Amino acid sequence: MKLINNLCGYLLLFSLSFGNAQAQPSKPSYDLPYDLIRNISQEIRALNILSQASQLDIWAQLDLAENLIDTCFKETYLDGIQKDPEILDLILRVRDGFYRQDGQYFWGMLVTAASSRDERDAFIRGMKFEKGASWFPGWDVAWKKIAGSDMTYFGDTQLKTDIDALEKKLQNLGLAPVDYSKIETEQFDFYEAYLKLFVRFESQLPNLISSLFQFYTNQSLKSMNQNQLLELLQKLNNFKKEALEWAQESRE
Amino acid sequence: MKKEYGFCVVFALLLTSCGSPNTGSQNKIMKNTEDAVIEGLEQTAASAYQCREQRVALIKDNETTVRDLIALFKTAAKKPGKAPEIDLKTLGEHYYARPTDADLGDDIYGILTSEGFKLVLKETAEFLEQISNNDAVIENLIALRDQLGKKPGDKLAEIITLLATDRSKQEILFGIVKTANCESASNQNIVDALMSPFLLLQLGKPGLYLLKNDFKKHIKSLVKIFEETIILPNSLKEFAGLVQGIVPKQNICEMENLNSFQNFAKLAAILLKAPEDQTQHRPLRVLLNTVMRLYTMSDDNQCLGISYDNLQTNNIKEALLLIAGLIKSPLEWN
Repeated sequence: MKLINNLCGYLLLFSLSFGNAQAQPSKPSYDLPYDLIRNISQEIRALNILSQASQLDIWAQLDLAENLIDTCFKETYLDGIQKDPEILDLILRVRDGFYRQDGQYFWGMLVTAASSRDERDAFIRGMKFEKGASWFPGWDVAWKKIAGSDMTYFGDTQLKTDIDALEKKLQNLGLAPVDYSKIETEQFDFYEAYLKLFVRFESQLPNLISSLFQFYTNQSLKSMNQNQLLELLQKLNNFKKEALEWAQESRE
Repeated sequence: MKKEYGFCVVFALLLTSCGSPNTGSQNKIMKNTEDAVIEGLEQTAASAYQCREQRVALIKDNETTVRDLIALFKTAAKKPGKAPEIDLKTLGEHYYARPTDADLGDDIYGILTSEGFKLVLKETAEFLEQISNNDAVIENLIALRDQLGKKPGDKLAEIITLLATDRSKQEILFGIVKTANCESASNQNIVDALMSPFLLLQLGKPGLYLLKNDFKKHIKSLVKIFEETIILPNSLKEFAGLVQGIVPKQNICEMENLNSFQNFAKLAAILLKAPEDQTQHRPLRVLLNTVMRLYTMSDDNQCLGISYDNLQTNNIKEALLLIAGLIKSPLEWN
C-alpha cells in the first residue's frame, strides 16, 4: 500500500497538468533546461533503470496500475482543501519556505538521506524520533550522523512549522497520518538508483521543478497566488471526477 | 504441387513486401503479386475435395477486397526514400550449402528445400497440434475472440486508431523514445516527451476499460499457459531468430521523423475503421470471416463455411490441425 500511496502522489502531481491540456502551445515558449533533461536521461540509461523496469513482471505492473487508479481517485480531499483558505495559505507558505534558507536545509537533509544506506537509516530513525518514538536500538549511532546533517538546522525553521501545521490540517480533513513507526530503511532500497540520481543532480533539481511547473501550468511556481492555486486545484479536482467516471464505466 | 505453389506465393509476397528497393524489376514483381495471390487462391479452391464451386465463388466475390488489401499491404511496406535491401545470406548459409554468388531466388529455393527448414515445418506443425490439444488455450482464445467482438475490441481499436491517425500523438511517442534512449534528442523531442501526460489522458479512458475488463484476465491466462505449459520447438526459435536478423532495422536515434511508418499506420487505421452502419463489421473482421469461411467450407456445413465470428472450440481445434496438416503436407510429397 505504501508503494501505491507514493505512486498516487506522483500521479496526482503529474495530473496537475491534465486540466490544462487545451492551453498548451504547439511550440515551446518556456525556458526548459534541455541540457539538464538530456543529462538526466543519460544517467538513467547508465544506471540501467529502464532495463530493470522492463524485467519486472508486466502483470504485476498492470495489477499495480489498476489498484493505483482505484486508490488514488477514491479520495483526494481536494474539495476540503479548496474550501479552506488557511490550507491554501499554508501551501503557499510552504512553497515560500523552499525559496528561503529553510528550503536549502530541507533539500540538504533529503540529499544526505539519499546518499547512502547508512544515511537513510539514520534519517528514518531521526524521523521516528521526531514523530514520538522514544528510543530504539542504534539511535545513538544514528544521532551522530543526523547531528552532522541539515536535519538539525531544519528542525528550527519556519518551513518545518508550516509543514507540521499543513500536515495537521490535512489530517483534520481525514487524510490518514503517516505511521512513521512502520517505515523501514529496506523499503527504500528499491529506489536506490533513483536516489543516486537525486544526489547527482541535487543542485539543479529546483530549477527543473520550477521549469516543469511552468511548462505544465503556464504559470510561475514562485509567484503563484492563492487564486491561481485554487484554479489549479479545481482543475485537478475535475480530473479526479473524470477519472472516477472512467473507473465507473469500466465496472459496468 | 499446387499447395506448395500457394505456400511459395505467400512466402514470396512476404519477402517482396518487406522494404523492397524501388527498382523497375522489383516493381514488376510487386505489380504481379495481386494476380499471383488470386491465382494461387483460386487454384487452391479449385483443387479442394469439397465445395470447389463455392470456394471459387467466394474468392471471386471478394476479389476486389483481396486485391485492395494486398495493394494496401504493399503500400504499407514501401518506405519513402532509400530502403535497406533484404539479405537472405545469413539465413541461406544456415540452411543450405549456399554458393557465394547465390541470388535471392537461389536463397529462397535453397532454404525452402533444405532439411533444416523441413524440421522447422515439422516441429511447427507439432507445436500447433500441441496447442490444439490444450483446452485451456482454446477456451481463452474463444473468450478473447468474444471480447474483441464487443466493447473491449472497440476500445482497443480506439487506442490503435488514435495513435495511427494523429501525427502529433505519434510525435509525442517518438519524443519519449528518443529522449529516453538517444544522445541526440532534440529540444523538440524533449518538449514532445513532456507532452505525454496529455496523451495518457486521452488513452486513459479506453486503456482503463481494457485494464479492468476480462480482456486482461484472458490474455494473462494465455501468457501463463504458454510460459508454463507449451514448449516452443528449438528449430522454430532458431528460425525466428534468424528471420529477425534479416528484417531491415533502423536505428531510431538516427531517424528524424516517423514518415516511414505512416503507411503502416494508415493500414492499421483502415483495417480497424469503424463501419458507418452498425450492422457491418470492421474491415479486419470481414477479412477474418472470409478467410475462415474459405478454409472451412465442407459438405457438413452445406458449403457455407464457418466464419471467424462463429468459431467454436472444436472449430479452432480443427483449424489448428488443418494448418498443421497444410504445413506438414510439403514434407509428405517428398
